Amino acid sequence: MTLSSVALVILAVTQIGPVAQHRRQLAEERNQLMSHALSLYGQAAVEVFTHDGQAALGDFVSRLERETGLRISFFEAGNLILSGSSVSSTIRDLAAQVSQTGRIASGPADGGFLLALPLMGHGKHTFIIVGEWPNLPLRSPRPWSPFPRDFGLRLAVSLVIGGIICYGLAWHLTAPIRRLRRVTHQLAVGDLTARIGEGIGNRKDELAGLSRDFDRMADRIEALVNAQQRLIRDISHELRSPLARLNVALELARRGCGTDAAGPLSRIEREAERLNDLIAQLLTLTLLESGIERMEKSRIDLLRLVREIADDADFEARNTNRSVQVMSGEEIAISGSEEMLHRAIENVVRNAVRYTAEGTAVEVTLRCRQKDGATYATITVHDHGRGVPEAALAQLFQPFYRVTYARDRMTGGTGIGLAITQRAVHLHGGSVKASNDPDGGLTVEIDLPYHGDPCQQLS
Amino acid sequence: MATRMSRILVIDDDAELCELLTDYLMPEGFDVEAVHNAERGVERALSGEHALVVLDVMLPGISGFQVLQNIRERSRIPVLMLTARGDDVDRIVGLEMGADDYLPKPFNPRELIARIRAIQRRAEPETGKRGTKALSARIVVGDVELDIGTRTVVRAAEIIELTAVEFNLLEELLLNAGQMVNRGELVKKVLGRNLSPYDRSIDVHISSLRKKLGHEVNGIERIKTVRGIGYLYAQPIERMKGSK
Repeated sequence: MTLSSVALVILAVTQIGPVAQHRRQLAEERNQLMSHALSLYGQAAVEVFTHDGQAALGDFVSRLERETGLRISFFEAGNLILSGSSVSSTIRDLAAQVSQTGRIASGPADGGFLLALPLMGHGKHTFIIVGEWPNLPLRSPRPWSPFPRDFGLRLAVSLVIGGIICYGLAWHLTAPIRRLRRVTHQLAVGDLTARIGEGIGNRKDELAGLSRDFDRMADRIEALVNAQQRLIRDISHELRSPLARLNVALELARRGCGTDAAGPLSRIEREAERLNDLIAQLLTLTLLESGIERMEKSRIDLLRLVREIADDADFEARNTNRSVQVMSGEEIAISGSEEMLHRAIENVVRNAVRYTAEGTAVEVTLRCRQKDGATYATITVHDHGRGVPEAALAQLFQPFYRVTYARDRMTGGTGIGLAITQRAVHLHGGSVKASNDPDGGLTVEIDLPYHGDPCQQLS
Repeated sequence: MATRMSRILVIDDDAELCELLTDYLMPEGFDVEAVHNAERGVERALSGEHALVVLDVMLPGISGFQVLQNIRERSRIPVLMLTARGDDVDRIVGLEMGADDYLPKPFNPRELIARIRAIQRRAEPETGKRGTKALSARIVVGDVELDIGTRTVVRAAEIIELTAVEFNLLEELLLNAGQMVNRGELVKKVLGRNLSPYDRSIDVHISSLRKKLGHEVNGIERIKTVRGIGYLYAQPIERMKGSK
């Protein structure tokens, strides 16, 4: 629409030309009118002066001024004879100019206008008359305006017509762009079937080319994503089959072998389970990454969820002389997939339990927070472990990223848990970040947007 | 202890796995027949020669669900689905279509046995723990009469067709009629496993029971959901002879 407003401005500007021309015309007309009048008055004044003398001229000039507002200065052969007003240098200059050039001269006076004419008297006497109009307009029946008579109407009409044309043009030009924008947005939020198709009509211009290219690009994206999904599914199926056989064979081996083999067989079983978990988590991660997991949304009581997770983790943590505590919690409910958020939060808590020092407690809090004008439900999980090198903090949430301490091998985990957390939180419009605490442990903060009333100050 | 051999039909295209399963299940009292394609699977399942079917839903070609549907159209034979790990929707769909339970592949074989046994719940005790129940062969609560021996259910003189798990579930609810039964306990007793978060199998079975028996009895809700805790089968005002 800025296009239209620019066009309207241009239109308005083009009206200025005629206005300027009109003004010039007016000025010329006025000059002509005035010089006619002045020359008439001048001739009359010459007659009066020649026949009746200076005093009569004086009366004539006064009467003239009274009746028309015109002030006259009368010169003969360069000398001032009479003047109805104080003779300024401008008037003298003008008179001198006329006596030199023999032609009409004009000039501005303060607030008014000066006109000087040469006049012929009887015999060889030449006179010069300078008329001073104090201000315009002349007393005329029609009120004088600097604009043409129907300027206002003309301007209004051209603005309206111009406006309609401009708006129509702008609409026509941007309609395909608007459609393109809508479809692009659809694609961006996850509808891979979004296409422009015939939506922009029969055009043969660059916009048509753009929308064809967009559709081709969308086709490619959809095909790639579908191929990726199929690939993951096929891979996991292929991995499943040998693992299923392995599990049964393991049990058969257990049965047949003596106690010597029990240890190694248990070990095999554990590794097989790790493979199982890895597959399951990979599947979850790729589903989340493509963003089109079927998310069943419901109202989630976050406090209850956090408490559940903490209790479960605490139960397990006690086996290794650690614990999990909910330090503080506010009643907050958000909308989302409870299963996904459960996984997301649980992965963080499990990690914390793995890395916190023996005999310490992992601290979990849930509170409402205002940040940048938006309201968030913030879950923090704090452990008393050794923290993470600053440089590695940002990479913590990448799949398979492990901070390289030798202890890692003993603590287990697959390296995908936090990646799942990040993806799941992102799908809910939130964010997660890790930071080192001054007292040495790691704090992970999950922010989930909460579309409710801003945080109330709790006592 | 004399263990009667139970004939199990396994429908899975992985022939090697079927071989291993046969070896594994035999000493546990299961006589395995393995079939590797869908059509043959349906045929054999409807033969009436087996006590239970283990069905891989990821069969190539005709889908495992189609097989399940074909079987269910004509038989109430217990079916245990082998599903893909991490695919929750498949599980629910399968249960709603009438499968008794599911087990994600790859699975722990011990788990497989536990679930098979739970579904079957033979009157003859394998381990002896159900011996005491042999005394009350019939349970009657309100308009429903459940016969443990013949595993039939009659409601208002009409025979109701239930799957094996649905029967076990109803039995458990009726034994505790008027009292609430914890969800975790139900899963343990009826499905032979521990309740894991977001496992909605028992809810699907309850839903099926409600549909088959009718949501209400004498104007009150037949099976009440106690949110977050469990289920309760409504006890009629007037106690009838034979109920616990």
